[in-house]
Amino acid sequence: VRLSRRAVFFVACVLLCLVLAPPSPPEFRWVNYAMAGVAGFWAVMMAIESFRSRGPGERGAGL
Amino acid sequence: MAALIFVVLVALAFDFFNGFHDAANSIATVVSTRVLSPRFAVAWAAFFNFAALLLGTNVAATIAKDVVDQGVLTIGVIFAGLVGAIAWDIITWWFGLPTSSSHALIGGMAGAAVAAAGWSSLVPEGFRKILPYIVLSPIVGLLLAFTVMVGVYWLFHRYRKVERLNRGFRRMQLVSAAAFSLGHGTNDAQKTMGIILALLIAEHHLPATAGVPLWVKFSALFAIALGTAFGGWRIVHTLGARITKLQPLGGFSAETAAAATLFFTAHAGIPVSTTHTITGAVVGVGTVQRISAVRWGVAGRVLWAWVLTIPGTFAIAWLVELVVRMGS
Repeated sequence: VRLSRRAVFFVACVLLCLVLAPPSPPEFRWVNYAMAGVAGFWAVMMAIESFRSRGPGERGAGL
Repeated sequence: MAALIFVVLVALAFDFFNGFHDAANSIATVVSTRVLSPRFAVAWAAFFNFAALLLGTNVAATIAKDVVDQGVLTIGVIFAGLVGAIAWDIITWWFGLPTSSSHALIGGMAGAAVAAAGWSSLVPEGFRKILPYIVLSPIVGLLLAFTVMVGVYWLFHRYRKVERLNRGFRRMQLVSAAAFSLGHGTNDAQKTMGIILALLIAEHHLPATAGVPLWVKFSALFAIALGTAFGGWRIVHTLGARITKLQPLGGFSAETAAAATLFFTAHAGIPVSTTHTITGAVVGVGTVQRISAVRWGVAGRVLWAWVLTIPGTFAIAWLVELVVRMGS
């Protein structure tokens, strides 16, 4: 099973937001977690989209 | 007193060039979608840059008090920091790298302070606030722009009158461009306010706990608005060749997301790069189409700017401070 490029891109955004959380000031860490949540949501949506659009012999939806 | 006035003028010149360079960010989308004529767009952006006078000064306080130990700041240190930032802006402009005036200023101030009093002169809490947001602010812009764009598509996906929808978003772009210009004034002009405030405190014209005086706010915002007006005119001449045709919806989404990011960071007192924030937002809008729709070369250049700007300005300001100290 191969994830679409957009899904991988948003997974990378999740990781970056989480990696930056410890060095961020405690009072603003919620921004990192909120953004990781948003990126995670889009990663899941993009993954679902790419699985659904991939029929037999079909490629991902122009990704 | 003459030295103080001279360094204040150098700081205002830095602010002017900041507005000059960043004018494109504020007006490019409204002009390329023909929402406003170039003349009116320049006036629109400059007005909202200046309107930031009514908003807070948390970023100025961070620059003045949270980057470098206030006891270390002298006219010479601040001058060296400014020269480092201006020299870096010119070098990166020459090589075509995207400049972040914010990062340049922070690196310059740090380099000059370390040259004057060693590494202990840096304030770790301030850097803890600033450094993660160098990377985070474009990502926030990107994610918000993507979300706004998809949200608008989702809301109007059954709407068949595309021409009418586009007309609606052309009007909405007036609001989003104004919000972005306001965010630009709030964030970037405050960096200069912070420098002048630090200078006035260092020279004992103000107590260490003082806020930004009105004349400092007024002059910094006037300088950035004037720079935007002049920079805008430069863009008018090259408009046809250099600006990619944008759809009003994409411009609206990118500007709204970038403005929201800038308002948050300004409120939190975190100095961020407005250029990198809008670049991230534009990448977010492009990603809605497909990953390959994004000009990744531009994103890669932003990455280089992240890596190089603070060390580069640090080194230049460090050298300038040594020269200034030897000269005096």
